[in-house]
Amino acid sequence: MEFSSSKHGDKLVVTVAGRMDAITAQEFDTQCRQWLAAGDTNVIADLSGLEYISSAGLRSILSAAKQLKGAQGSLAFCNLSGMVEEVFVVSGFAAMFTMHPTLEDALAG
Amino acid sequence: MPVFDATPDLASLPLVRDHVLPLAADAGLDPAALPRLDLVLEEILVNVANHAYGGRQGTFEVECAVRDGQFCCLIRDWGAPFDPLAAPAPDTGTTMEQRPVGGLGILLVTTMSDHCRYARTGEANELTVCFALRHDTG
Repeated sequence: MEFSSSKHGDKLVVTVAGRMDAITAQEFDTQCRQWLAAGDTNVIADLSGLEYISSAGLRSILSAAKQLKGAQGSLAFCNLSGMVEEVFVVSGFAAMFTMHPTLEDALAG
Repeated sequence: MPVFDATPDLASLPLVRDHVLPLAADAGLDPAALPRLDLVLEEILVNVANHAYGGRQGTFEVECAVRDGQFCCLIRDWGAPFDPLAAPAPDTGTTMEQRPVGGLGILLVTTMSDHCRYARTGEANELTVCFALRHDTG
């Protein structure tokens, strides 16, 4: 799994690429602690490069979201497709989180 | 098709994928369904790794077959009797704050596969998951 991030005003856009599975998922949680340490609490995760996610990935995302919420922040998502979108819908995550079709929409929202 | 066997731990995860996914592709499983099969295998293997042997050494095997127009994988372990399909479904309609972390693996197995079945056979837990093969190609 690969991460890159950029600041847009008070929002941190994090692009996540690769596979978020039982082997790699913990990295999302680890990254989240770094965002918090840097004072970034409003995070938009751009998942356009994410090919695969399992329940281990969902677990890491929920844990990160709870940490951000605890710091009066937020976690939103954009650019989901394929099986990643399917997993978000089936698990209820698509209804639970703020979802945007594109990054432009996410930054405007 | 050859039977795959290994110890149930995360190191086996890529090995299972490398064994099963090409067999499924050769059997004619729709490429769009391969990530679902990939996911189902991971969820089952993680489940076996976490629960089957309670910290003791053990093994599992994966046996693939084409049956009744479906590509099926039978995942077998010799741990304590456990029917994952009997667990209550998680509540997927809660808010983020109320949502407990975890418990989604089996939901993904049942929704992403076309058919799944559990059986206790002798000393073994046998979980079979099947994916429909398309017949409109030829």
